[in-house]
Amino acid sequence: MIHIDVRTWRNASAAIIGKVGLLLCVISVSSCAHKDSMSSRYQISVDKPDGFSLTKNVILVADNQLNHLYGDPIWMRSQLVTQFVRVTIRPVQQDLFGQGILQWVVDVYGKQRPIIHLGDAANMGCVGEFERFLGIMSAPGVRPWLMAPGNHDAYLMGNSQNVVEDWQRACERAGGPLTKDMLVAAYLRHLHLQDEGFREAFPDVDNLPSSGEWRSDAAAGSVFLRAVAWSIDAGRPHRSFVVQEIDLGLPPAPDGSLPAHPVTAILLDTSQFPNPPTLVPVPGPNAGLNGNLQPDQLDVITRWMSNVDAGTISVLMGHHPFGTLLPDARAAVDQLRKQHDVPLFVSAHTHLGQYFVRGGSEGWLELNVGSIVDYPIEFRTFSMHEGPDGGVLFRTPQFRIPDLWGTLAGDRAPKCDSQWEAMPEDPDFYLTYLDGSSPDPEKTQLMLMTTLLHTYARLIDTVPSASDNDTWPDLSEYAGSDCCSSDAGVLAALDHILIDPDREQSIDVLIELGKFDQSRTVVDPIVHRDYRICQAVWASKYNKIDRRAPTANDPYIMFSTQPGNE
Amino acid sequence: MPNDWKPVSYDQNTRQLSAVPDSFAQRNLGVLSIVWNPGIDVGASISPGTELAVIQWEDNSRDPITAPENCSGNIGSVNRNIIFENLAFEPSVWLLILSQ
Repeated sequence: MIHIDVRTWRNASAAIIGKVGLLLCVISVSSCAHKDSMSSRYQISVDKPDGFSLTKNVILVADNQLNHLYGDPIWMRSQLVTQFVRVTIRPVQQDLFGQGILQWVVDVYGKQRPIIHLGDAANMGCVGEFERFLGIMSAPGVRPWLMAPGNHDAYLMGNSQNVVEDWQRACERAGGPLTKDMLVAAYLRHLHLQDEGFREAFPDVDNLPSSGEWRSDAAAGSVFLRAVAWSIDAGRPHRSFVVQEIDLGLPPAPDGSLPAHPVTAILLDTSQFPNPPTLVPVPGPNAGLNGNLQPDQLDVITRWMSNVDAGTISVLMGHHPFGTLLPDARAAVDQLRKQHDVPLFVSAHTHLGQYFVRGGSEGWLELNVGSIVDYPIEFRTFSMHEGPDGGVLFRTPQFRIPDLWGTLAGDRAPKCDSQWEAMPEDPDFYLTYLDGSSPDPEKTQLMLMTTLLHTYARLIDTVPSASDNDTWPDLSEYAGSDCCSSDAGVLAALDHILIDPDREQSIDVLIELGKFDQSRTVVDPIVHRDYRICQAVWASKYNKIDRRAPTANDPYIMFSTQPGNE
Repeated sequence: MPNDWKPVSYDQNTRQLSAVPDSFAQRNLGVLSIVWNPGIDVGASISPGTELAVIQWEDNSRDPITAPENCSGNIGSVNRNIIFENLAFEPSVWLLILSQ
C-alpha cells in the first residue's frame, strides 16, 4: 500500500541522513567535541534556595500556530511538499482542537499570573487566526498578557510577504492576509483594551499615530506593561514593529522595602526586516529561517536599557532564537547584552523546549520555550528570586502536556479515554494526510476536508448532544433531505456527504459543523472538552514520532489477550 | 482574609504537613514563593505555633505558615521544590514531613 511505502521511504531516508550526519560529525571530531559551556556564574540547582521572589511569576507560552483550515488551496499545502517540510500540514485534529490546550492553560493558570506569549499565535498569517487567538487570550478573569510577534503572525506560513496571491488564497474565509503593519495595529488594539494608562494617553485607538511610544509613570512593580513603542508602515509592512518593556518587578513589601533588584524584560520584535521576506532565502530574508531587528527598533531598546534605574536586571525576550538573528541584529543585541550584563535571553520558534549556551567557553544562557501545540507540548512559568550570596535565581519550571494533567485531581485537567483514539485503519486517523504524495493542493485539501468530516462524525458519535439541545446545523442543502434536528440526523447527513465529497461543499459543511459544535449543549461538557483536547494531543504526539507508538515516558501500555481484538 | 484562614493542615497518620488547596484558591492570588524560616530544616524540632515559613503572594503581601494543632516533632523532610503554581489545586502539595 502506498502509505506504507511512503512512510518506509521517509524513515529509511531519515536513517541514511542520520548516518551521514554522524559520519560527518566523527570526521570533524574537533567541532563536535567543543560545545559552548555556560559560564561559572551560572549554577544549576535541584532545590530552590530560600529567598523571596524579586519578580512577578509569568507564564511563558509560544507557538500555538492557530491554523486556518478553510482557505483556498495553495501549492505549499500539498502532500508532496509536506513530505519534505513537515510543518506545512499538521494533522487536522491538531488544527481543529489544538487551541483547546492553550485555552486550558489560560483558564487554569492564567487567572493567577500574567502571560508572555513569545509569538506564532497564528500559522498561515491570516486576520481571522489572530482574531480567534485574541478571543482565547482575553477570557474573563485572565491576568494581563503581552506578546512578541512571531514570523507566522505576519508572513505567509511564517516565511514570506511577497506572494500576495497565494497568501490571499490561503486566507480566504479568514479576513485575508495579516501583514506586519496589520498585526501591529491589531496588537495595539489589544493593549488599548487591556491597559488603562495606554488608553488614557491615546484615547482614539482608530487614530493611533503611525509611529509612537508610551511609557507608564505608575509606581515600580505596579504594572505589567511599562512601555511600548511601535511603527506601522503600510507601504512596507515588514518594517513595522512593536517593542515592549515589561515591568517584571513587584510593589513594595509590607515593610515598605523594595526588591533588591528591579527587573525588566524587553520584548523584542524579531520579525522586522528591511526587505520583504521571501520563501527562497537567497537573497532573502526568509522570516522562518532568520529573525531581524531594524535600527529604529534597536534605537528604542538602547535608549530604554540605558535609562533603567541602577541595579536593574534586564532580560531580553523575543520569538527567534538569538542564533537565528541575522548578523547585524545579532551583533546589536549581543552588544546590549554585554553592556547591560543581561543574564538571560528567552526565545521560542524551535518547538523544542531547551537551553542554548551562547558565546563559547564562558557562555551565557538562552531559554528556548517549546510549543503549546506541537509535541512535546509545553509551557513554563518564569520568575527571579533572591539567590545565595547576593545572586539571583531563575525559577522556570517546565509543564508538559499531558504529563501535567496526570498530576492534577478531579476534572480540572483533561483525562484521555483510550477508547476515543482513532486507529491507523480509521478514516480519521491522525496521520492520514501522509498517505500519499500528491503535488496537487486541491486533492490534498479534499483529503484533509474528508478527514475532518470523519473527525466530526467521531466527535458527535462519542460526545452526544443533550436532549434539550436546540442548536442544530442546517445541512439540508448537502444531505439530500431536511437536516438536522438530532445527532443521528447529522451523522446520516455526514454519511451521505462522504459518499462523494466535494471540496468546496465540504468546507461549507465543516464551517456549519464548527458553529454547531461550539454552540450545542452536550450531555457532558467535561467529556466534550476532554475529547477534543485529547484528539489534539494524540495527533500532536503521533505526528512528532511519525507513527502510532508510545514514547519513552509513557508508563502504561495495555495489551489485549484476545488475538482478534485488533 | 478571614481570621480562620488556614493554608496548611497536618495529618497525624502520615505525619505530613500539606497545603490546603481551597485556602489558596480562596485567596485568588498567585503564590510567588514559600520561604522557609531560618532553622526550619531536617532534624529541627517544631511544635504547634512554630512559625515555619512565609508565603509571598503575587501582590508582594506575605502570610506566615505556622505549625497547626498536633503538629509536633522533629522534621524529617522539607519540600524545597514546591510547585507554587499548583498550590490551589488538588491533590494537596506536601510541605513538611515529621520523622517517626
